[in-house]
Amino acid sequence: MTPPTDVRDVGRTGRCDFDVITPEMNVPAAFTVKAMAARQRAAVRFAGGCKGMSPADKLDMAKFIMEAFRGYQGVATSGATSARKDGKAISRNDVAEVDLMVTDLAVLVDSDVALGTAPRTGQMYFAGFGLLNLDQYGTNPNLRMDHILIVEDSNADTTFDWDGDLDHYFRWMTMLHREAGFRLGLVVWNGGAVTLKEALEAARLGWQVIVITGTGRAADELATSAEYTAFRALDNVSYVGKSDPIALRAKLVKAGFLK
Amino acid sequence: MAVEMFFTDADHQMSSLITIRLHKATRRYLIRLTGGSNYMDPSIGATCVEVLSNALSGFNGVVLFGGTRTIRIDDPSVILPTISEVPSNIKTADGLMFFGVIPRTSVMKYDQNVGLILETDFGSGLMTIVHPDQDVCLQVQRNVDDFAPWDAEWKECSRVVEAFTRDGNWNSLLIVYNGGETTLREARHWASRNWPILLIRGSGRAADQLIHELAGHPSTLVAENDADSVREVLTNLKAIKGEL
Repeated sequence: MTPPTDVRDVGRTGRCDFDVITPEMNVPAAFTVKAMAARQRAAVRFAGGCKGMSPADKLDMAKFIMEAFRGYQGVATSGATSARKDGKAISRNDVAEVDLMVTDLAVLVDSDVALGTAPRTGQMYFAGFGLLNLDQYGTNPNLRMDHILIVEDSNADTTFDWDGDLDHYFRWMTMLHREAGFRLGLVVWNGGAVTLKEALEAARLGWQVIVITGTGRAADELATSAEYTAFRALDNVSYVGKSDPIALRAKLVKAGFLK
Repeated sequence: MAVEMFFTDADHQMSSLITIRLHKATRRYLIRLTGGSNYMDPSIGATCVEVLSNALSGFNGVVLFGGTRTIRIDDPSVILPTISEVPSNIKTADGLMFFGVIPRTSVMKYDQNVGLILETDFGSGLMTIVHPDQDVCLQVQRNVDDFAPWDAEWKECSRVVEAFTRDGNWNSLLIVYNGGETTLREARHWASRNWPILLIRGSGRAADQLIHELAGHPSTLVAENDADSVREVLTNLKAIKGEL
């Protein structure tokens, strides 16, 4: 794959807008304006994780998703975090060298705008000039996104669990669908308890849920566990093997996310 | 036209729902009309409506205005010609949207004949109601008990302009016709942001004062008080024709 030559360090326009909101607040209008500027009224959320994956597995994940989404002109969204290389959020140039996260996929794929949300799960701090960490483990914001939202509890002294942003992003994407006709999709790769929650809720709401099998944990549970038989029977849920980007692409075309 | 009504407290967040609504406009252009309302001489008001509505013929973006109509208490069929009557006199174009912002300056009442009444002034014999010709109307207040100042209208409109032009690559233009102190504050805010302003020469009061005050300002233009002159500026700015 040929890396693009116009890789920017921060967002597509040289900035990554950043807001911190509390549960009683709505998603900022600026976030919505960016989504409405996409050429295609489609929004795909990448959900999951990379636990138990080797660096080679992660590189394959990036290649798989980037190939499948080639030419996508909608909104790409995920958690607002990123792996980091030399202090910066990673770009397509870095995929072979860095320990990727699923949340990097939203900025690696073709899209018109990349938006992220994350719950505040710890104390945010600056580790150095301009180097913001979102929690005590050094979790980095994904500055290559165009806008990221951190959802924090109304009490500045308390923190959320990792599902703390789900309500906001589900309500916001539902509004995009209801009010502006956006097609909505969720791509599931690996993942844990929060990912299971996301997949079940997205399916219930009628999103196109595509589970990538063979990636481990939540994705494979959704594919095989008897607990999720009803989920598997839904018309808006489908499965693709992790080595078959053509099959994923075909599903995206059929669902109207790609032409 | 059914008016979608929204209510918010002043300085609360801008609405994503209204944001989505306004994207139904065909042209990514916001034109904000500001200036003379009830204090404008009716003959000047009539000229205002004629000049600006004719100049904006064919515009298919979003018109932002104070979403009110002023009528006579003794005869509600008599409408005072203010700048708020310009939108409903613009020749309809596909994708043209009207977004009215109203500061709640007194207790609202509902009347089965005229709709929502915002203010009643028995001294002047005039009543202000929610304008029936708009797509989206946002009423701004402090809270249930406290009213909003008149400046809340232009401040809310400015927030829309800020978000749409910065984050969505929309274009914008403030058209100033006549107007008072509130209009002066709004225009000065636009000038401080270097947002485009069009002042109508000879329309009186704030507009003519601003022509002197903003002389040489890089984003301020002046048109004569006739439809052709205004339309020429709008055409040059690609507000009504041409690819953005």
